[in-house]
Amino acid sequence: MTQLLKGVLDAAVLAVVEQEDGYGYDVLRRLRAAGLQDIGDASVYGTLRRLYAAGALTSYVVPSDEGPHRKYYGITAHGRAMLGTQRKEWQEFTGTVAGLLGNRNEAA
Amino acid sequence: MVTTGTDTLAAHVRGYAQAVRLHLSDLGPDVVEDLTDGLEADLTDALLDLPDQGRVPVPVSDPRGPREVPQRSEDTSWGEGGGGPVTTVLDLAAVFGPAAAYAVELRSAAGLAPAAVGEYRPPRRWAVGRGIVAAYEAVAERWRAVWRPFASSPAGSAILDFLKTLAPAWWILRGWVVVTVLLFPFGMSVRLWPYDRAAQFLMIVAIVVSVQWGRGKWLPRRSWAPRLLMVASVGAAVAAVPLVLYVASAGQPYDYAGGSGYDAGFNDGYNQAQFATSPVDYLGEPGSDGVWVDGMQVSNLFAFDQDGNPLRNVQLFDDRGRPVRTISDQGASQTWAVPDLPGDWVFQPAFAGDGRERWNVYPLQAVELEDTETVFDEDGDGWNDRPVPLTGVRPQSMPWPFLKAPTEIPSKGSPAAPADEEGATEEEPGDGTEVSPEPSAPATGDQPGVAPGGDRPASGTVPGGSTGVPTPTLEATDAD
Repeated sequence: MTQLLKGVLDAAVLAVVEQEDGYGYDVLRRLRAAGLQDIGDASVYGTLRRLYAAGALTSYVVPSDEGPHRKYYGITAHGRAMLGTQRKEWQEFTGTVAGLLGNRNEAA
Repeated sequence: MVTTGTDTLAAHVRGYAQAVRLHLSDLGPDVVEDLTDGLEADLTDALLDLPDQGRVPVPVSDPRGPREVPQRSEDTSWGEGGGGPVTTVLDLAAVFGPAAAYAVELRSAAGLAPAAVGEYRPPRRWAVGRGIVAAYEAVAERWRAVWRPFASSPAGSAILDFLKTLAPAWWILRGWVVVTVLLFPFGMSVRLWPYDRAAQFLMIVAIVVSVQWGRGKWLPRRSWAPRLLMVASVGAAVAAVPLVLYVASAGQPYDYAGGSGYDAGFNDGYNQAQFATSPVDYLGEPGSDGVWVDGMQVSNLFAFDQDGNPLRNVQLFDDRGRPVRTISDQGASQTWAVPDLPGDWVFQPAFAGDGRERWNVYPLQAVELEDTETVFDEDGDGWNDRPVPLTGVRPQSMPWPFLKAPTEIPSKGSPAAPADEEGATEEEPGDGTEVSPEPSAPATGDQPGVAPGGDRPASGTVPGGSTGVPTPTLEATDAD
């Protein structure tokens, strides 16, 4: 996982869960499907735990017919606010960096 | 396609999850549980999503590791294309990476501190320590298994809850026990509160640390720390039993610095002191008395005259005419610690003109233990096996608490001194008719009629005995 990805993993996980509640592997699969191929299993699971501990996520257990139960995560109001902030920060940041990198390219 | 049995898959998933948990074990069971709850399900899902549904062939050396591995394979023929050898054993590490790395990633993503250095190293240097810990854990597990039925019952859990509230008291006791045990080899006596400043400081520090550890604070963030604490606690608990019993029975062992038979003598003296105010007569129990001040046994007495000047060779009697003895027969066979003087001391009596011992002449003198020899009494009565000065060794005066008494008494109103002497001689025979004081008055007066005679030589001895006291031939008089 790249350093870049690490910085936005929280926002990415929150965004995925905001779309639809999901359990650990489900969230991971959707992140990968969205294009984040290099993301690590444990990174996503650890991030889910941390966001849950921070109150950004809620969790509930869904019994499974086959195999072990699933621990689903849903977003909380606090998580939504957090995601909103991070979205804004990300957009500002990407705008700044894009401008910066674009200038460099022109100069070179 | 060959599918692997779900049981096998589940077993491998469990094994991998357990390995991950093992690498997180320093976080404590609750955090590990929270962090890895559902890990098996996630792992299983991920495996089932692999192209060949969980059958993971394992090349011996895989350059890239996770994610690159899964390939189509027939039962045992995966290596045909020139890859590695094939094993039918599922190796989840090939998919998810080593369990240790997985645990590190999980831990850091969850915002938890990295494991302590050395967490994953095989035990080498602390092999013995780890052996002890492992043995302890095995015993502890069995112990828990034994108590589980009890602890899960309502009454049992109520008792356990009650005991848990006593934990802070145990933390304090634990600190005390550890310091007491550690300082014991350095000559600190077992007592509730040490005399020594440094020991007192150490005691406070140990108790504070013990309490903090009990509250889960200040513990080194090492995986072995909680286990070491448990082992040490069990050791302290075992040591606490005899130590507490000793302190409880000994009370305040003042003036004591070793010597066999002390406990018995001390306890006797202590018990007697509890009844000292009641008119109990200790007929037939020679030497079981003593003098106590504020619960502390007195070894020596120092008298001062009305001007506050020290008096030597003062005979002391109580209101019944009995000689006041601080050093009982048992006490005479023990060593004592003396304030301001190092070493172990054996107190020596003054001697009457007829050679008999006078233990009520104060201040008592003493000799150091090195300068004594133990003379065994012919009677075989153990208490008479006491140290006597070596030939040529003279007992020394003990240091006075002060050179001059802090209080001066005006010269008028002190008829006590002459009256005391007369009272002693007069009351002696008078009390003799009451039977009781007669044998108890002189320490060695086992025969009737000795008391009045014994008194006069004693008073005559004091002036003469002030310079050079004694010959060390005590057992001859004892045998009388």
